[in-house]
Amino acid sequence: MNRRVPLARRNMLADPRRLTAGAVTVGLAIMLILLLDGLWTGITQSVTTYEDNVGADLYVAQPGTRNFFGAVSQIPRSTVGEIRQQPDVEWASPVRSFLAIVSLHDSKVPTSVIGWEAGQRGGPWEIAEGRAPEADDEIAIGQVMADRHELDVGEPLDIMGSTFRIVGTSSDTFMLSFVFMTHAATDTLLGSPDTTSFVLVGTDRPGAVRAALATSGLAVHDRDELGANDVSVMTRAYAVPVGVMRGVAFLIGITVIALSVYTAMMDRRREYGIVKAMGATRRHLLGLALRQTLIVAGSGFVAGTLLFVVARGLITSVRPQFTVVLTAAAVARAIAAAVLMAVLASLVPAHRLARLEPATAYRGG
Amino acid sequence: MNSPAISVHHLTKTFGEGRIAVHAVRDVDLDVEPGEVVLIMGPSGSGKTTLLLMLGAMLRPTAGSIMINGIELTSTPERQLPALRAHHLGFVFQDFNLLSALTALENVELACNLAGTSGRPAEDRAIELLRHVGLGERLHFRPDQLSGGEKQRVAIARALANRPTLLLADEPTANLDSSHGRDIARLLLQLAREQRCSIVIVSHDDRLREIADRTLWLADGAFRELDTMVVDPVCAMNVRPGDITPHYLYGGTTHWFCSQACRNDFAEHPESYLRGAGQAQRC
Repeated sequence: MNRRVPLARRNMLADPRRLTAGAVTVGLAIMLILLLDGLWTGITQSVTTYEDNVGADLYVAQPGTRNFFGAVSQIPRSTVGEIRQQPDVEWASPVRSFLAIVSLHDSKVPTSVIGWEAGQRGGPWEIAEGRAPEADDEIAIGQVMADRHELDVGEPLDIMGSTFRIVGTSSDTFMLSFVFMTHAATDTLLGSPDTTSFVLVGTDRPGAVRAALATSGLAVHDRDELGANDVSVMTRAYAVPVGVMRGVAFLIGITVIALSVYTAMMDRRREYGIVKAMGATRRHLLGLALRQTLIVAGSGFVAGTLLFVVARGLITSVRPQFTVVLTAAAVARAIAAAVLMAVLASLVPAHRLARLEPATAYRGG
Repeated sequence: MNSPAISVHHLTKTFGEGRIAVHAVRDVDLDVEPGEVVLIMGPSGSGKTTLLLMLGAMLRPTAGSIMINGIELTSTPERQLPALRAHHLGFVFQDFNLLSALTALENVELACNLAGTSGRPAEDRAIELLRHVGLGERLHFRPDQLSGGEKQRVAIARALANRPTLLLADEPTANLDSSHGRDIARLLLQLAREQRCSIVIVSHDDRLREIADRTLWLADGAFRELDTMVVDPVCAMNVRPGDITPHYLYGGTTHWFCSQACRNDFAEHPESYLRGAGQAQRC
């Protein structure tokens, strides 16, 4: 394509301060969109950390149970033996799961307590320091929680009125820290011996096992179902406020781009009149307006990406329990948002340009 | 004989209606031959700019017709007017009106782009024109780096970029000193002859008469006979003597002025103006 005079670019670059101010403000909006997207992705990924790592194909729970975290499920311990008797079941492990608030240095820290049978599945999958708990007064806690609250292996920690000794840290990353202990310890803490919350099942034929267990009336979910339900429960409460924040960031972006380009155009109103007098068509002027808003949006996207990198670094250093994940899809969404901002923001300046009289180029008289 | 480059018949423009109607241009006829330079003079508010806007397809007349290169402007749909301006007309403005963010070269190249030429051919045409107007060394200068005379040369190069049939110039020398004004006038004439481009100039500047093939006087929206005009000895404007025209009897002769201010200046030092000294170009 033959080169044409880049009037839009020249006009925007002619006032670098205005362009910079617009780019930084749009950049903040883009950063917010990327950050919310990244936090959202981080949360949804970390919610299923347990299911992703524990290696179970099926989860058996009290009837009506749909999710793992925060679920109130209690089934007889004998269920484990019954499940093990089923054909095609390779292994079955009882796991207790509940949320507990731990007091640390005058602050309340939410944790996800996992009780499991030593030597069976369901416990910590990766130990960063020390070892997994073996005795009923031992626990392993998430490394992020240990670092953040300066807890070392060997130190005591009170949970629900009982004192445990930290014997190891697990290297998982989860917004709620995991606290692993023996299943017997959770029996004592909750005062419900001979029960468990879930039975994790390993099998090569999950469909057949599920069908067989369905007759028992228990809730049986595969990993994907349970993960999806966990994500739904954890994100439902935040979907609206996060959506509103995204919307506000988007509107701010549109407004700033529109104002930047509109004021730039009004400053050069007579010059656009000249261009129109020289024969610029309506289409040409609309393209001019759109190119100018795209320049601001593009600069804003670059600024926003840089600001995002800085903000992500700050967040992960101050609040390491929050994972901010930048995915290709999130980048694509931010680019789409920037382009959409530019298109919407060009409407008002384009309308003004289209209505501009070419006679503006002339003096009155 | 060639057909006229532009042919105007019974051109009328009225703003408003009824008692508040203002007749800016009344029943004007004008034929401009190819390569002809026509100067239209007249006092402020006489309808010069309104006429120029109509000739430039930027203002619809109330009545009459304008024919450029066989195209009837008044019946051309609005959406086709930009293309007509881009291909058949060139404009030179009083305040140069260069695009401040573009270099001299880009200002001219943009006119080529709008006329449908882009890339290397547009750049070559722009360079050729700028060299022709003596700005070969100023191609990459922005308007704020050019003098007034240089800016007007760029504006003329830009106006000719699309090889127009008709170049419309609005006060092309108004913001230039006498030396640069004369240079610009001669340049316009030279280019008109070389490119067989007709030029219609609207101006107060009497110096432009030396390059004009014809000079027309527009007053109250209609052309008047120029031979009934006299020159204001203070500002050198053409003035039509009349009952309400400011005048002053001195040395047995009645002197006519474009305004009361000029008359008063003259009355204070008549000899200095009659000697030709101290003439001000203020009108």
